[in-house]
Amino acid sequence: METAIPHNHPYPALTPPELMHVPSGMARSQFRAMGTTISLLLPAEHLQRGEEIVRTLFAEWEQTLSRFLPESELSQLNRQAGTNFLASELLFTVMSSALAAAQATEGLYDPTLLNQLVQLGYDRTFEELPAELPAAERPTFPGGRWRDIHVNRALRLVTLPPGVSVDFGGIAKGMTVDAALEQLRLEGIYPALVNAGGDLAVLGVPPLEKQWPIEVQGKSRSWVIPLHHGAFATSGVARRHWLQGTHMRHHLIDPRTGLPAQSGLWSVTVVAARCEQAEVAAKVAFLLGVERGSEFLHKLAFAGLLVREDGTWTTVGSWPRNAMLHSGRKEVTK
Amino acid sequence: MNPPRSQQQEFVHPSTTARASASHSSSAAPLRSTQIRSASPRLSKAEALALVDTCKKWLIAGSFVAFGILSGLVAGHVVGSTSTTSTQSPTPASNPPATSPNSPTSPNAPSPNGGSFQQQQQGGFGFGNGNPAQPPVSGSHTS
Repeated sequence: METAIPHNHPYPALTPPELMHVPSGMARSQFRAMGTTISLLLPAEHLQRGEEIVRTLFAEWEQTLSRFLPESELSQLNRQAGTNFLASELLFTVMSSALAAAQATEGLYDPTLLNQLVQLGYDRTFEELPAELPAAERPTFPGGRWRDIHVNRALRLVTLPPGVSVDFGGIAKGMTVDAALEQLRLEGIYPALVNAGGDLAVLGVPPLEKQWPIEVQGKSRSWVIPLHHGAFATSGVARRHWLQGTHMRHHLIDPRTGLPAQSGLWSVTVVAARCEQAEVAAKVAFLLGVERGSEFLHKLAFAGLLVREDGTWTTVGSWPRNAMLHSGRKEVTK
Repeated sequence: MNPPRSQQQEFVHPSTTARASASHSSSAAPLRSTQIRSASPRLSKAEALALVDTCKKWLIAGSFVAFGILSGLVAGHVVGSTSTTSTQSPTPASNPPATSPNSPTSPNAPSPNGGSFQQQQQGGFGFGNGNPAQPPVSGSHTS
Protein backbone atom coordinates (compact mmCIF):
# COMPACT_ATOMS: atom_id res chain seq x y z
CA MET A 1 0.00 0.00 0.00
CA GLU A 2 1.25 3.47 -0.86
CA THR A 3 0.07 6.83 0.33
CA ALA A 4 0.35 10.15 -1.45
CA ILE A 5 0.24 13.77 -0.39
CA PRO A 6 -3.22 15.33 -0.44
CA HIS A 7 -4.34 17.90 -2.92
CA ASN A 8 -6.70 20.29 -1.22
CA HIS A 9 -8.83 21.21 -4.17
CA PRO A 10 -12.42 20.63 -5.12
CA TYR A 11 -12.89 17.31 -6.83
CA PRO A 12 -12.69 17.33 -10.59
CA ALA A 13 -15.32 16.32 -13.05
CA LEU A 14 -14.28 13.64 -15.48
CA THR A 15 -13.82 14.38 -19.13
CA PRO A 16 -17.26 14.13 -20.80
CA PRO A 17 -17.55 10.97 -22.91
CA GLU A 18 -18.05 12.94 -26.09
CA LEU A 19 -14.68 14.63 -25.56
CA MET A 20 -12.77 11.47 -24.80
CA HIS A 21 -10.41 9.77 -27.20
CA VAL A 22 -11.88 7.25 -29.62
CA PRO A 23 -9.44 4.53 -30.68
CA SER A 24 -8.82 4.04 -34.38
CA GLY A 25 -11.45 1.89 -36.07
CA MET A 26 -13.90 2.31 -33.21
CA ALA A 27 -16.88 4.53 -32.56
CA ARG A 28 -18.70 5.78 -29.50
CA SER A 29 -22.37 5.64 -28.70
CA GLN A 30 -24.34 6.48 -25.59
CA PHE A 31 -27.87 6.39 -24.24
CA ARG A 32 -29.70 6.72 -20.94
CA ALA A 33 -30.75 3.73 -18.84
CA MET A 34 -30.87 2.76 -15.17
CA GLY A 35 -30.76 6.41 -14.19
CA THR A 36 -27.36 6.96 -15.74
CA THR A 37 -25.55 7.30 -19.05
CA ILE A 38 -24.51 4.11 -20.79
CA SER A 39 -21.47 4.70 -22.96
CA LEU A 40 -20.18 2.22 -25.52
CA LEU A 41 -17.02 1.90 -27.56
CA LEU A 42 -17.48 -0.60 -30.37
CA PRO A 43 -15.94 -1.39 -33.74
CA ALA A 44 -17.23 1.32 -36.06
CA GLU A 45 -18.73 -1.16 -38.53
CA HIS A 46 -20.78 -2.82 -35.78
CA LEU A 47 -21.78 0.26 -33.84
CA GLN A 48 -25.45 0.26 -34.75
CA ARG A 49 -26.04 -3.43 -34.14
CA GLY A 50 -23.97 -3.42 -30.97
CA GLU A 51 -25.81 -0.44 -29.56
CA GLU A 52 -29.13 -2.06 -30.31
CA ILE A 53 -28.09 -5.22 -28.50
CA VAL A 54 -26.87 -3.36 -25.43
CA ARG A 55 -29.78 -0.94 -25.37
CA THR A 56 -32.29 -3.80 -25.51
CA LEU A 57 -30.50 -5.66 -22.78
CA PHE A 58 -30.31 -2.68 -20.44
CA ALA A 59 -33.98 -1.92 -21.03
CA GLU A 60 -34.96 -5.47 -20.14
CA TRP A 61 -32.81 -5.63 -17.03
CA GLU A 62 -34.04 -2.24 -15.83
CA GLN A 63 -37.63 -3.23 -16.47
CA THR A 64 -37.10 -6.32 -14.31
CA LEU A 65 -34.83 -5.03 -11.56
CA SER A 66 -35.59 -1.37 -10.96
CA ARG A 67 -37.06 -0.44 -7.61
CA PHE A 68 -38.27 2.84 -9.08
CA LEU A 69 -40.61 1.21 -11.59
CA PRO A 70 -43.83 0.09 -9.87
CA GLU A 71 -44.48 -2.53 -12.52
CA SER A 72 -41.00 -4.05 -12.40
CA GLU A 73 -40.67 -7.61 -11.23
CA LEU A 74 -38.57 -6.48 -8.29
CA SER A 75 -41.32 -4.08 -7.19
CA GLN A 76 -43.84 -6.92 -7.42
CA LEU A 77 -41.58 -9.11 -5.33
CA ASN A 78 -41.27 -6.38 -2.71
CA ARG A 79 -45.02 -5.95 -2.61
CA GLN A 80 -45.46 -9.69 -2.06
CA ALA A 81 -43.06 -10.01 0.85
CA GLY A 82 -44.11 -12.82 3.12
CA THR A 83 -45.40 -15.01 0.30
CA ASN A 84 -43.79 -17.33 -2.21
CA PHE A 85 -42.93 -15.45 -5.39
CA LEU A 86 -42.21 -17.26 -8.66
CA ALA A 87 -39.27 -15.32 -10.06
CA SER A 88 -38.10 -15.05 -13.63
CA GLU A 89 -34.73 -16.55 -14.41
CA LEU A 90 -33.18 -13.09 -14.52
CA LEU A 91 -34.54 -11.96 -11.17
CA PHE A 92 -33.68 -15.28 -9.59
CA THR A 93 -30.11 -15.11 -10.89
CA VAL A 94 -29.54 -11.59 -9.63
CA MET A 95 -31.12 -12.49 -6.29
CA SER A 96 -28.86 -15.52 -6.01
CA SER A 97 -25.80 -13.44 -6.81
CA ALA A 98 -26.83 -10.77 -4.32
CA LEU A 99 -27.33 -13.31 -1.55
CA ALA A 100 -24.02 -14.97 -2.38
CA ALA A 101 -22.29 -11.58 -2.22
CA ALA A 102 -23.96 -10.88 1.13
CA GLN A 103 -22.78 -14.24 2.42
CA ALA A 104 -19.24 -13.74 1.11
CA THR A 105 -18.97 -10.29 2.67
CA GLU A 106 -20.53 -11.34 5.96
CA GLY A 107 -23.47 -9.08 5.32
CA LEU A 108 -21.59 -5.88 4.50
CA TYR A 109 -23.15 -6.04 1.10
CA ASP A 110 -26.82 -6.19 2.02
CA PRO A 111 -29.60 -6.18 -0.60
CA THR A 112 -32.29 -5.66 2.06
CA LEU A 113 -31.63 -2.01 2.91
CA LEU A 114 -34.37 -0.48 0.82
CA ASN A 115 -36.52 0.45 3.82
CA GLN A 116 -33.56 2.21 5.40
CA LEU A 117 -32.86 4.12 2.18
CA VAL A 118 -36.47 5.20 1.94
CA GLN A 119 -36.49 6.26 5.58
CA LEU A 120 -33.42 8.37 4.90
CA GLY A 121 -35.29 10.10 2.11
CA TYR A 122 -34.06 8.24 -0.96
CA ASP A 123 -37.55 7.19 -2.01
CA ARG A 124 -37.46 8.27 -5.65
CA THR A 125 -34.89 8.42 -8.43
CA PHE A 126 -31.94 10.57 -7.56
CA GLU A 127 -32.80 12.99 -10.36
CA GLU A 128 -36.14 13.62 -8.67
CA LEU A 129 -34.70 13.89 -5.18
CA PRO A 130 -34.58 17.44 -3.79
CA ALA A 131 -31.29 18.59 -2.32
CA GLU A 132 -32.94 19.14 1.08
CA LEU A 133 -35.50 16.97 2.83
CA PRO A 134 -37.32 17.28 6.14
CA ALA A 135 -35.88 15.46 9.12
CA ALA A 136 -36.63 11.76 9.49
CA GLU A 137 -39.71 10.95 11.54
CA ARG A 138 -38.47 7.63 12.83
CA PRO A 139 -35.01 6.33 13.68
CA THR A 140 -33.52 3.93 11.20
CA PHE A 141 -32.51 0.37 12.06
CA PRO A 142 -29.72 -2.06 11.11
CA GLY A 143 -29.93 -4.42 8.14
CA GLY A 144 -29.16 -8.10 7.93
CA ARG A 145 -32.59 -9.39 6.95
CA TRP A 146 -31.10 -10.99 3.81
CA ARG A 147 -30.43 -13.97 6.03
CA ASP A 148 -34.19 -14.56 6.26
CA ILE A 149 -34.78 -14.62 2.52
CA HIS A 150 -35.70 -18.09 1.32
CA VAL A 151 -34.97 -19.22 -2.21
CA ASN A 152 -36.03 -22.47 -3.81
CA ARG A 153 -33.69 -23.05 -6.70
CA ALA A 154 -35.60 -25.96 -8.17
CA LEU A 155 -38.89 -24.06 -8.32
CA ARG A 156 -37.32 -20.57 -8.67
CA LEU A 157 -39.28 -19.33 -5.71
CA VAL A 158 -38.19 -16.36 -3.64
CA THR A 159 -39.75 -15.57 -0.29
CA LEU A 160 -38.95 -12.28 1.38
CA PRO A 161 -39.59 -11.96 5.08
CA PRO A 162 -42.65 -9.81 5.86
CA GLY A 163 -41.76 -6.13 5.89
CA VAL A 164 -38.48 -6.59 4.01
CA SER A 165 -37.81 -4.95 0.64
CA VAL A 166 -34.93 -5.55 -1.72
CA ASP A 167 -32.81 -3.07 -3.62
CA PHE A 168 -29.96 -4.65 -5.55
CA GLY A 169 -28.19 -1.34 -6.04
CA GLY A 170 -24.94 -1.44 -7.96
CA ILE A 171 -24.69 -5.20 -8.29
CA ALA A 172 -27.53 -5.23 -10.81
CA LYS A 173 -25.86 -2.54 -12.87
CA GLY A 174 -22.54 -4.37 -12.72
CA MET A 175 -24.16 -7.62 -13.78
CA THR A 176 -25.87 -5.83 -16.65
CA VAL A 177 -22.52 -4.54 -17.88
CA ASP A 178 -21.09 -8.06 -17.68
CA ALA A 179 -24.08 -9.50 -19.50
CA ALA A 180 -23.87 -6.83 -22.22
CA LEU A 181 -20.24 -7.63 -22.89
CA GLU A 182 -21.00 -11.33 -22.99
CA GLN A 183 -23.78 -10.73 -25.48
CA LEU A 184 -21.47 -8.62 -27.66
CA ARG A 185 -18.88 -11.38 -27.52
CA LEU A 186 -21.44 -13.97 -28.60
CA GLU A 187 -22.39 -11.70 -31.50
CA GLY A 188 -18.73 -11.35 -32.49
CA ILE A 189 -18.71 -7.63 -31.73
CA TYR A 190 -15.37 -6.81 -30.13
CA PRO A 191 -13.21 -5.16 -28.96
CA ALA A 192 -15.77 -3.45 -26.83
CA LEU A 193 -16.15 -1.27 -23.78
CA VAL A 194 -19.39 -0.83 -21.86
CA ASN A 195 -19.59 1.91 -19.25
CA ALA A 196 -22.71 2.31 -17.12
CA GLY A 197 -22.24 5.49 -15.16
CA GLY A 198 -18.69 4.68 -14.11
CA ASP A 199 -19.05 0.91 -13.83
CA LEU A 200 -17.26 -0.39 -16.88
CA ALA A 201 -15.81 -3.53 -18.37
CA VAL A 202 -13.84 -4.25 -21.51
CA LEU A 203 -13.57 -7.08 -24.00
CA GLY A 204 -10.38 -7.39 -26.00
CA VAL A 205 -8.18 -4.37 -26.69
CA PRO A 206 -8.62 -1.63 -29.28
CA PRO A 207 -6.97 -2.16 -32.66
CA LEU A 208 -3.35 -0.95 -32.75
CA GLU A 209 -3.40 -0.29 -29.03
CA LYS A 210 -2.31 -2.29 -26.03
CA GLN A 211 -4.84 -1.20 -23.44
CA TRP A 212 -7.83 0.95 -22.61
CA PRO A 213 -6.78 4.19 -20.89
CA ILE A 214 -9.42 4.71 -18.20
CA GLU A 215 -9.79 7.97 -16.32
CA VAL A 216 -10.36 7.45 -12.61
CA GLN A 217 -11.80 10.17 -10.46
CA GLY A 218 -10.10 11.27 -7.27
CA LYS A 219 -11.21 14.02 -4.94
CA SER A 220 -8.78 16.62 -6.16
CA ARG A 221 -7.58 15.19 -9.44
CA SER A 222 -8.03 12.30 -11.78
CA TRP A 223 -5.67 9.68 -13.14
CA VAL A 224 -5.48 7.63 -16.31
CA ILE A 225 -5.10 3.93 -15.60
CA PRO A 226 -4.24 1.55 -18.46
CA LEU A 227 -6.67 -1.36 -18.27
CA HIS A 228 -5.89 -4.39 -20.35
CA HIS A 229 -8.75 -6.65 -19.35
CA GLY A 230 -11.28 -6.70 -16.55
CA ALA A 231 -13.71 -4.26 -15.03
CA PHE A 232 -13.76 -1.03 -13.03
CA ALA A 233 -16.27 0.13 -10.46
CA THR A 234 -16.23 3.10 -8.11
CA SER A 235 -18.27 3.65 -4.97
CA GLY A 236 -18.26 7.01 -3.27
CA VAL A 237 -20.19 9.95 -1.99
CA ALA A 238 -19.35 12.55 -4.62
CA ARG A 239 -22.72 12.46 -6.35
CA ARG A 240 -25.56 10.84 -4.46
CA HIS A 241 -25.85 12.85 -1.28
CA TRP A 242 -28.58 15.06 0.14
CA LEU A 243 -29.55 16.90 3.29
CA GLN A 244 -32.20 15.36 5.55
CA GLY A 245 -33.02 17.85 8.27
CA THR A 246 -29.60 18.82 9.54
CA HIS A 247 -27.93 15.54 8.52
CA MET A 248 -25.99 15.03 5.33
CA ARG A 249 -27.03 11.69 3.85
CA HIS A 250 -25.63 9.52 1.10
CA HIS A 251 -26.63 6.26 -0.52
CA LEU A 252 -23.91 3.97 0.85
CA ILE A 253 -25.69 2.51 3.86
CA ASP A 254 -23.79 0.60 6.50
CA PRO A 255 -25.97 -2.42 7.36
CA ARG A 256 -24.49 -2.50 10.85
CA THR A 257 -26.16 0.79 11.69
CA GLY A 258 -28.70 1.37 8.95
CA LEU A 259 -27.19 4.79 8.43
CA PRO A 260 -24.93 6.26 5.74
CA ALA A 261 -21.39 4.99 6.24
CA GLN A 262 -18.90 7.24 7.99
CA SER A 263 -15.67 5.50 7.11
CA GLY A 264 -13.40 8.43 6.39
CA LEU A 265 -13.33 7.50 2.71
CA TRP A 266 -14.42 9.61 -0.19
CA SER A 267 -14.35 6.90 -2.84
CA VAL A 268 -13.09 3.42 -3.58
CA THR A 269 -12.31 2.20 -7.10
CA VAL A 270 -11.82 -1.51 -7.63
CA VAL A 271 -10.58 -3.47 -10.63
CA ALA A 272 -11.70 -7.08 -10.83
CA ALA A 273 -12.46 -9.70 -13.43
CA ARG A 274 -16.09 -8.66 -13.70
CA CYS A 275 -18.06 -5.54 -13.03
CA GLU A 276 -20.34 -7.33 -10.58
CA GLN A 277 -17.39 -8.23 -8.39
CA ALA A 278 -15.82 -4.79 -8.66
CA GLU A 279 -19.13 -3.16 -7.67
CA VAL A 280 -19.63 -5.24 -4.56
CA ALA A 281 -15.99 -5.04 -3.52
CA ALA A 282 -15.85 -1.26 -3.94
CA LYS A 283 -18.93 -0.76 -1.81
CA VAL A 284 -17.77 -3.12 0.93
CA ALA A 285 -14.28 -1.60 1.01
CA PHE A 286 -15.88 1.83 1.32
CA LEU A 287 -17.92 0.71 4.31
CA LEU A 288 -14.90 -0.87 5.98
CA GLY A 289 -12.68 2.19 5.76
CA VAL A 290 -9.13 2.49 4.55
CA GLU A 291 -7.39 -0.10 6.71
CA ARG A 292 -9.89 -2.92 6.79
CA GLY A 293 -11.08 -2.07 3.29
CA SER A 294 -7.55 -2.47 1.98
CA GLU A 295 -7.22 -5.80 3.78
CA PHE A 296 -10.52 -6.93 2.32
CA LEU A 297 -9.42 -6.12 -1.25
CA HIS A 298 -6.01 -7.64 -0.67
CA LYS A 299 -7.58 -10.85 0.57
CA LEU A 300 -9.66 -11.10 -2.59
CA ALA A 301 -6.62 -10.27 -4.78
CA PHE A 302 -8.44 -7.32 -6.32
CA ALA A 303 -6.69 -4.08 -7.22
CA GLY A 304 -8.01 -0.93 -5.63
CA LEU A 305 -7.66 2.78 -5.10
CA LEU A 306 -9.01 4.17 -1.85
CA VAL A 307 -9.36 7.94 -1.68
CA ARG A 308 -9.80 9.46 1.76
CA GLU A 309 -12.02 12.41 2.55
CA ASP A 310 -8.94 14.61 2.77
CA GLY A 311 -7.92 13.65 -0.77
CA THR A 312 -5.01 11.35 0.11
CA TRP A 313 -5.09 7.97 -1.49
CA THR A 314 -3.94 4.42 -1.01
CA THR A 315 -3.53 1.71 -3.59
CA VAL A 316 -4.05 -2.00 -3.05
CA GLY A 317 -2.74 -5.04 -4.86
CA SER A 318 -1.54 -4.73 -8.43
CA TRP A 319 -3.01 -1.28 -8.99
CA PRO A 320 -0.44 0.47 -11.26
CA ARG A 321 0.98 3.06 -8.91
CA ASN A 322 3.38 4.28 -11.58
CA ALA A 323 0.41 5.41 -13.62
CA MET A 324 -0.84 7.29 -10.58
CA LEU A 325 2.43 9.14 -10.17
CA HIS A 326 2.99 9.99 -13.80
CA SER A 327 -0.46 10.60 -15.17
CA GLY A 328 -1.74 14.06 -14.55
CA ARG A 329 -4.96 14.49 -16.36
CA LYS A 330 -6.06 17.44 -14.32
CA GLU A 331 -5.79 18.95 -10.91
CA VAL A 332 -8.90 21.04 -10.46
CA THR A 333 -11.91 21.65 -12.59
CA LYS A 334 -14.85 22.37 -10.51
CA MET B 1 -2.36 -91.07 -17.32
CA ASN B 2 -5.65 -90.36 -19.06
CA PRO B 3 -8.78 -90.72 -16.98
CA PRO B 4 -11.31 -93.34 -18.06
CA ARG B 5 -13.80 -92.10 -20.75
CA SER B 6 -16.81 -92.78 -18.59
CA GLN B 7 -15.54 -90.38 -15.95
CA GLN B 8 -14.90 -87.73 -18.64
CA GLN B 9 -18.53 -87.98 -19.82
CA GLU B 10 -19.79 -87.06 -16.39
CA PHE B 11 -18.52 -83.52 -16.85
CA VAL B 12 -20.07 -82.96 -20.27
CA HIS B 13 -23.18 -80.75 -20.47
CA PRO B 14 -26.36 -82.79 -20.97
CA SER B 15 -27.38 -80.89 -24.10
CA THR B 16 -23.96 -81.52 -25.61
CA THR B 17 -24.40 -85.16 -24.91
CA ALA B 18 -27.79 -85.14 -26.54
CA ARG B 19 -26.49 -83.40 -29.68
CA ALA B 20 -23.54 -85.83 -29.86
CA SER B 21 -25.87 -88.80 -29.52
CA ALA B 22 -28.17 -87.44 -32.20
CA SER B 23 -25.36 -87.02 -34.68
CA HIS B 24 -24.11 -90.55 -34.10
CA SER B 25 -27.44 -92.36 -34.21
CA SER B 26 -29.54 -91.48 -37.23
CA SER B 27 -32.35 -93.83 -36.30
CA ALA B 28 -33.06 -92.05 -33.07
CA ALA B 29 -32.77 -88.55 -34.56
CA PRO B 30 -36.48 -87.55 -34.92
CA LEU B 31 -37.32 -88.41 -31.37
CA ARG B 32 -34.21 -86.71 -29.94
CA SER B 33 -34.68 -83.50 -31.93
CA THR B 34 -38.25 -83.22 -30.70
CA GLN B 35 -37.04 -83.58 -27.15
CA ILE B 36 -34.41 -80.91 -27.73
CA ARG B 37 -36.92 -78.48 -29.27
CA SER B 38 -39.24 -78.83 -26.31
CA ALA B 39 -36.38 -78.26 -23.85
CA SER B 40 -35.04 -75.17 -25.69
CA PRO B 41 -37.67 -73.72 -28.06
CA ARG B 42 -36.35 -72.07 -31.23
CA LEU B 43 -37.90 -69.06 -32.91
CA SER B 44 -39.16 -69.19 -36.38
CA LYS B 45 -37.37 -67.05 -38.94
CA ALA B 46 -40.23 -64.56 -39.04
CA GLU B 47 -40.29 -64.31 -35.28
CA ALA B 48 -36.53 -63.85 -35.16
CA LEU B 49 -36.67 -61.11 -37.80
CA ALA B 50 -39.43 -59.38 -35.87
CA LEU B 51 -37.35 -59.58 -32.70
CA VAL B 52 -34.31 -58.17 -34.49
CA ASP B 53 -36.44 -55.35 -35.91
CA THR B 54 -37.73 -54.50 -32.44
CA CYS B 55 -34.19 -54.49 -31.07
CA LYS B 56 -33.08 -52.20 -33.89
CA LYS B 57 -35.90 -49.79 -33.17
CA TRP B 58 -35.06 -49.67 -29.48
CA LEU B 59 -31.38 -49.25 -30.29
CA ILE B 60 -32.10 -46.30 -32.59
CA ALA B 61 -34.47 -44.72 -30.08
CA GLY B 62 -31.94 -45.23 -27.29
CA SER B 63 -29.22 -43.65 -29.40
CA PHE B 64 -31.34 -40.58 -29.95
CA VAL B 65 -32.14 -40.30 -26.25
CA ALA B 66 -28.48 -40.73 -25.25
CA PHE B 67 -27.41 -38.19 -27.87
CA GLY B 68 -29.99 -35.74 -26.58
CA ILE B 69 -28.88 -36.18 -22.98
CA LEU B 70 -25.24 -35.76 -23.88
CA SER B 71 -26.01 -32.70 -26.00
CA GLY B 72 -27.93 -31.18 -23.12
CA LEU B 73 -25.07 -31.81 -20.75
CA VAL B 74 -22.56 -30.31 -23.15
CA ALA B 75 -24.76 -27.27 -23.81
CA GLY B 76 -25.32 -26.68 -20.12
CA HIS B 77 -21.74 -27.22 -19.13
CA VAL B 78 -19.86 -24.13 -17.91
CA VAL B 79 -16.21 -24.40 -18.72
CA GLY B 80 -13.98 -23.58 -15.79
CA SER B 81 -10.76 -21.68 -15.85
CA THR B 82 -7.75 -21.69 -13.66
CA SER B 83 -6.28 -18.46 -14.88
CA THR B 84 -5.10 -16.16 -12.15
CA THR B 85 -4.78 -12.44 -11.80
CA SER B 86 -2.08 -10.89 -13.89
CA THR B 87 -0.83 -7.38 -14.11
CA GLN B 88 1.45 -7.30 -17.12
CA SER B 89 0.28 -9.95 -19.50
CA PRO B 90 -1.38 -8.35 -22.47
CA THR B 91 -2.49 -10.72 -25.17
CA PRO B 92 -2.43 -9.94 -28.86
CA ALA B 93 -5.38 -7.90 -30.01
CA SER B 94 -6.08 -10.39 -32.74
CA ASN B 95 -6.86 -13.17 -30.29
CA PRO B 96 -10.54 -13.76 -29.61
CA PRO B 97 -11.23 -12.13 -26.28
CA ALA B 98 -11.84 -14.38 -23.36
CA THR B 99 -14.84 -13.90 -21.19
CA SER B 100 -15.57 -14.67 -17.64
CA PRO B 101 -16.90 -18.17 -17.23
CA ASN B 102 -19.45 -16.87 -14.78
CA SER B 103 -21.00 -14.46 -17.17
CA PRO B 104 -24.46 -15.38 -18.22
CA THR B 105 -24.37 -17.18 -21.53
CA SER B 106 -27.32 -15.15 -22.65
CA PRO B 107 -28.41 -11.86 -21.19
CA ASN B 108 -32.00 -12.92 -21.44
CA ALA B 109 -31.44 -16.28 -19.84
CA PRO B 110 -28.58 -16.01 -17.39
CA SER B 111 -27.30 -19.07 -15.68
CA PRO B 112 -28.89 -19.20 -12.23
CA ASN B 113 -25.67 -20.13 -10.51
CA GLY B 114 -25.33 -17.33 -8.01
CA GLY B 115 -22.39 -17.34 -5.70
CA SER B 116 -20.18 -15.79 -8.31
CA PHE B 117 -18.68 -13.14 -6.05
CA GLN B 118 -16.60 -15.79 -4.34
CA GLN B 119 -15.19 -17.02 -7.63
CA GLN B 120 -13.22 -13.84 -7.98
CA GLN B 121 -10.12 -15.31 -9.59
CA GLN B 122 -11.82 -16.69 -12.63
CA GLY B 123 -11.47 -14.56 -15.71
CA GLY B 124 -8.92 -12.32 -14.08
CA PHE B 125 -8.03 -8.73 -14.79
CA GLY B 126 -4.89 -7.00 -15.92
CA PHE B 127 -3.34 -3.62 -16.46
CA GLY B 128 -1.46 -2.43 -19.51
CA ASN B 129 1.95 -0.91 -19.41
CA GLY B 130 1.56 1.87 -21.91
CA ASN B 131 1.93 5.62 -21.66
CA PRO B 132 -0.09 6.81 -18.65
CA ALA B 133 -0.35 10.28 -20.17
CA GLN B 134 -2.37 9.14 -23.15
CA PRO B 135 -5.88 10.52 -23.42
CA PRO B 136 -8.59 8.44 -21.75
CA VAL B 137 -11.21 6.55 -23.69
CA SER B 138 -13.61 6.24 -20.77
CA GLY B 139 -13.90 6.94 -17.09
CA SER B 140 -14.83 5.39 -13.76
CA HIS B 141 -16.45 7.56 -11.14
CA THR B 142 -19.05 7.44 -8.42
CA SER B 143 -22.49 7.06 -9.87
